[in-house]
Formats: sequence, C-alpha cells, structure tokens
Amino acid sequence: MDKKLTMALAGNPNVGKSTLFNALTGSRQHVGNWPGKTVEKKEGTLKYKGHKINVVDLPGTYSLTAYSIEELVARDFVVDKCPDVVVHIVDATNLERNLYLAVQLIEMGANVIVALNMVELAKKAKITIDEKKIAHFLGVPVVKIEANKKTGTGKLLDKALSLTGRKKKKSLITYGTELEEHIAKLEELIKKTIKLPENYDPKWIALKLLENDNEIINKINAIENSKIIIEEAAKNRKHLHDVFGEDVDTSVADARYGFIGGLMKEAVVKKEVNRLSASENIDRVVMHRALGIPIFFALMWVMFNVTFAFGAPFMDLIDVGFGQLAESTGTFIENATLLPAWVGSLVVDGIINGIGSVLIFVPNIFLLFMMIAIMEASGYMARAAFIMDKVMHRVGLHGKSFIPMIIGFGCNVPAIMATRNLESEKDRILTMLINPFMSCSARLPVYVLFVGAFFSAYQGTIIFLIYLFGIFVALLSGMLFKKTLFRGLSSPLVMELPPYRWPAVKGILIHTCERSWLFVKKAGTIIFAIVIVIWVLASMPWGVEYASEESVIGQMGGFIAPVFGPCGFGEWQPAVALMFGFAAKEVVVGTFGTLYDVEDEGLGALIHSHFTPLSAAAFVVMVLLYVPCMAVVAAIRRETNSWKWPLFVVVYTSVVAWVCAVVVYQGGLLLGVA
Amino acid sequence: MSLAMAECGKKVLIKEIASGVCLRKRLSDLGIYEGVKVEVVRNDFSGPVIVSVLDSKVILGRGEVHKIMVE
Ligand SMILES: Nc1nc2c(ncn2[C@@H]2O[C@H](COP(=O)(O)OP(=O)(O)O)[C@@H](O)[C@H]2O)c(=O)[nH]1
Ligand SMILES: [Mg+2]
Repeated sequence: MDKKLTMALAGNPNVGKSTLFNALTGSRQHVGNWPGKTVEKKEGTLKYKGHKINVVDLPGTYSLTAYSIEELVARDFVVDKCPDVVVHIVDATNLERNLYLAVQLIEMGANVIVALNMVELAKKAKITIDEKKIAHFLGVPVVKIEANKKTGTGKLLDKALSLTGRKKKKSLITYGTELEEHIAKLEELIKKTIKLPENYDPKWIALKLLENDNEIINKINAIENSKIIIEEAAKNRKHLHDVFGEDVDTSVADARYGFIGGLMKEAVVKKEVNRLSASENIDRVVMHRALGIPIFFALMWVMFNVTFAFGAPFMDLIDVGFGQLAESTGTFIENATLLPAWVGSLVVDGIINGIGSVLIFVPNIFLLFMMIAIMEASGYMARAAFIMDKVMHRVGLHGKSFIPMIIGFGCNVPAIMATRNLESEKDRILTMLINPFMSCSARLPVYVLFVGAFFSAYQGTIIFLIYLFGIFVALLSGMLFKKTLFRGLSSPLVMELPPYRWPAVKGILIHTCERSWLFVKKAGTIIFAIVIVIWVLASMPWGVEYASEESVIGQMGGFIAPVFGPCGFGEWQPAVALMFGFAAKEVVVGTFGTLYDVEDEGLGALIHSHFTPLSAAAFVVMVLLYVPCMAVVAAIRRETNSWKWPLFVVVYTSVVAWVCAVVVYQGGLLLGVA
Repeated sequence: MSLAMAECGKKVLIKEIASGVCLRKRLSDLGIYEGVKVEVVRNDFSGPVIVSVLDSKVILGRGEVHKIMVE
C-alpha cells in the first residue's frame, strides 16, 4: 500500500539535521519559503519501500518556546502543521540538554522518533548509551544513526513507517501534586469553554499557559471566549508562585531536567576521560584575549588570498572560452549575409561580452561561499561572535550580529535573512542597516579590475583592506545609529558555543553550489535583461555610433556625471556603470566592458587610460559603499515589512559613499597624489 | 555574588536568576536554571562569559551574567 507522509527533522542547532536531510533526500530537494514568512524552507522527497516521504529540514531550536523568527517557524510547523512523524535528532555527546526538547515534543503529543546522532563520537568520548532504556523511559522509538555516514537511516525510516496516527500517550513527567492539580483544573476549563484547534492537546495548552508562554497565550487569546481562561491561568500562576517561591516555568524546567537526569543515570554510562579536548586547545588560541581578533582577521586575509589564487586559473579558462565564443559567433554572423549587422553587435557586444564579464567571477564567488560555509559548519562562526562581542557592544549590538555580517561578504541577501536568528527586533533592524557596507562578492569584480589595473602586485592585501574599510564604516554607522535611532539597552546574549566538527563535504558542496547557482541564475536573468537594456540604450537613437556619448545612454550618463565630478570620475561612463550597478553590482564591470570599446588591449588597460590611481581608489570606495543592489533593498523591505528602512538605507548609503569618495579624491589631491 | 564575579575554573551553583521570564526560559532551555551547577570556563571580567553545563558550553553576555546569582 502506498503511503504519503510528512516527516519533519527537528532538533537543537548543529546536531546534524541538515546532514541527515542531505543523506535522506540527496538531490531531490528544493528551497522554498515558509508561507507568509521569508524563512527558507528546505523540503525534499524520498521514496522508501514504495512510500513517498516528504522530508522537511526545520531550523534548529532548543525548546518549544520560540525567541527568534526561525525558532517560531520550527515550532509552528510541529505544533500547527502536525507532521506525520517528527524525527528529533539528538547529539549523542550532549544527550541531557538535547533531550529537553524531546521531552517537550512528546508532551505536546507529536509522533516522535528520537534519532541518536554522532554515536561514533560518543563512543570515542567513552559514552555508552542504552537506547532501549531511553526508548522505554520516553515511550517513543530511539534509533542510533551516523548521519554523515548514512548508517542507521534504513532503520529510522522503517520505524517512521510503522508509526501511524497519533495515539494518546500517558504523561511523561509528573510535576508534583500541587502543580498537577492546577494543570488538571485548567485543562477541564479549557475543554469546557473553548474549542481548541484540532491538534492541540488541552493538557499541554494548560501547562503552557501556566508556564507563561507568550506565543501560546496569544494563540489562545485569538479564540472565542478565551478571556476567562487567560485570567484563570494568570491567577493560578500567581498562586503557584506564592506556594513554591519560584515561578512555574522554573519548577517545570526543574522537573523536566530531573526526569532527564534520572533517565541518564539508568541508560547512560560516562567514563570520565581527560576533559582537555582538542576543541579546547584550539579555543585557547583562536579565542585568546589578545590574539583572538588578529587571528580572525588573519583568517579573513587568507580567505581572500585563497579566493584569488585558486580562482585565477579557472577565471582564465572562462575568459578564453568566452573570447573564443565571441570571436566565432562574430565571424558566423558576419558570414551569414541574411542577418543585419546589428544582430552581430547585439549578440557579441551585448550578450556574450556582458554575460561573460559576469560569469568569469563564478570561481571566486564559489570559493568565497565555500569558505563561509566551512566557517559556519566547523563551529568557528560562534567563536568569531564571541571575540567580536566587545567591539559589537560599542555599536549597541552583540557578537551574534557579527555572523550575518560575515555572511554579507558572500551576499547581503542571505545576510539580511540570517538576521532572523537574532531575537530582538531592534537588533535585527540595526544589523540590516549596517549590513550593506559588508562588501559582497558581486562588488569583488570591480576591485579585481581596478586594483589589478593599478596595484596588481598587492591585489590580495589591498582587496582585504577594502573589506576592512567596509567593516569599519559599518561599525561607525552602527555607533551613530545607536546614539540617534536606537537608544536603549542591548538585548541579551545567550548562545551555545558548539564543539568543533569536521564539516561534511557533501553538505558544504550542496550549500555552495546552491548559492553559486543563484548567482549564475541571476547572470542568466536579471543581468541578461540589463545587458540588453544597456545595449539598446547604447545603440539609440538610430545611426549613432555604438555606446558613444551621443547615444541615449551617453546622454543619461552625461546628465548625472557632474555629481561625481568632485569624486574624480566625472565622465559619463562611470556614472552609467554606477547607475546600472543598482540593479545588480555584477553589472558594473560589464557596463564598462560595453561602454569602453574593448578591442584587444583588454578592460584593464582601458581602465588605466580612463582613470588615475587616485580616481580609481575613489571609485572603488564608491562601489564599496554606495546603494546596495535592488535585491538587498527588496530583502530589507520584506524583513522589516515597511518601506521606511529600505529607503533610509538607500539615502544613507548614497550620502556616505559620496562623501567618502570625495574625501579620498580631494584628500589625495591635497596630499599631492596624482 | 553574581556570575560576573565568578572566576575561571570554578564550579558554581545557580541560586537565582533575577530577570524577566523570557531570559529565564531561554537560559533554562540551555540547561541553566536555579539549582543547577555550572563551571565557569572563561571570564575576563569584561565581555561575555562562557560556562560549561550539561556537556555543552554557553556564551552569556556581560549584562546577563550580572543577573545570575551564584554561590
Ligand atoms: N562526526 C559526525 N559529525 C556529524 C554527523 N552529522 C553531522 N555532523 C557534523 O555536524 C555539523 C553540523 O551538522 P548540520 O547538519 O549542519 O547540523 P544542523 O544545524 O542540525 O543542520 C557539521 O559540521 C556536520 O559535518 C555525524 O553523524 N558524525
Ligand atoms: Mg541545518
């Protein structure tokens, strides 16, 4: 018989959910959005023994109380969407804390299977786990797996298929007579007065109300006649506080950890081994009080140099490939006498050169995304958050906000989305506002071109300095915003410091390919469209010389160019390039390719003849800081749900960029730099 | 004394978490609640503190450790 079922993968962050997801679904996965929200939803399908299983990779959570939007999504999916099976992935080396979520999932009435992951690591750490006993305690199946080796997944799926329909489970934990009485009373009241949505267990709701869970209180508030229940719960809460001298949530946490502690005693044997692990030794160095920050920047520097060193040969290959394509297409069209000459110009000048000048950066971008993904998966990102916490505090943020900033080096769009991890709205907005100054990979081509043309000997180092300058402006802006727009206390910093792990090659590759593919797709769609628009504007009015000052595009550029006069690049071509760069930063270089008639000398040489080293520097600063691309503006609009902040970003970044470019150019002139 | 004053390497018992329910719940999700023992792994007396609890490590901001009373 064919069954179709939905299986959700839940668990704490970093326990191997995504690794298991990749192991189960392979390439049959897609990234979508959660309805109404913009959190990425990773779904995939899998066929097993004639059944079709829809697997959903949920964001990591520590409990069923949600603090960030990401956690809210995970919680709501389990609570409201009622998946047929919830596989709770548990890090076997950190069982006690992980089981806290398991207990809550089971209490909620979900169909839980506990997947004990990383059992080999646990074995190495001399932890012996009796999974049968755990299953007995929890009343749900427990399976040992090793996600990165795909062991145990068959057994896991067998168990998933055998679990059908929700059954009423006996209660897992007893919270003491007094509390239990209150839960029972409230449960009765709920059953009597309101109609709960189908999948809600009234007892669980009663407990959550007593625990003072805001989200659940809001949900119940939305139901008819619920006022009396909310009031009753508040009264009970107060009474229980008076009796126990502590809030209900503390008593509940105590009881849950007490239960888990008992389970651990029965089912787990830990041999005390030498605690000073490799992880701690690494941390001594990379989180060193004085050396931590220099090491972080040294790593960044290595990262950028690797990007160029390993990217270069591939870039040459792509360059040669597109050159040949342009040449042979050009000759082909010339020989095909039926085609008018403008077709050749469109295809060769417009499309092939335009797209080629963008796709050439795929190797760089691939490498950059790969290194960011490795930083994330290995656990280093959390260290960076720790060492940058003090610096970030000056800006009114805390270290956790630094993670989206690093992701911004790849692309600001996922970086803006990564702010969903932050708990306070104020932190989120502030982090989004300063994120565009983190130089994304689309700006890289401009640096490569300009720095290569003038200062090629120190390319890696200079580009690294450009990135540093971006961070500097971001932090300075943060400080300014904190003093003006976002006064008040910083939000709390509570985050786990995960142990170091070897990143799974497959996971890194899937993630990197996904991101790079988005870039290629962008090249094929948005950038393709802009290239054609540029070509059309450069060819009109009819009969004018292609991409000359008399063309429409030339006139448009000539119109805005005076604005950039004080920055040292008041010609019309850079103005046009910057204008189209707002659509996508990748286009800046391609526009130069179209506007300066590139023959044999190459774009670099042309830049050399149109810019001085000083005006090149000012232009690079301009590209680094000015308006983020449309996609980022749209992302900020989506995430803040208003036009206010995206518009603010557009205006603010434009002003800052212009001022900085003018300072660089005029300052340089004053100092006598040519 | 508050956790902010606890020295590196010390094992301390959490006596009271004097904060709103939100932060208190967050902490208990990570295994830090009244009555549990934690080990201070890192405290520079400025910047965040790292404690070890239930086989994992947790970073706590300076503002938060002031609200956690220990002995
Ligand atoms: N040794 C070992 N490492 C694993 C295993 N599963 C995942 N990992 C690693 O744990 C880290 C976090 O995994 P990930 O799937 O991203 O966790 P998620 O945050 O739960 O999605 C990665 O570096 C993985 O390579 C496993 O079974 N054994
Ligand atoms: Mg994941």
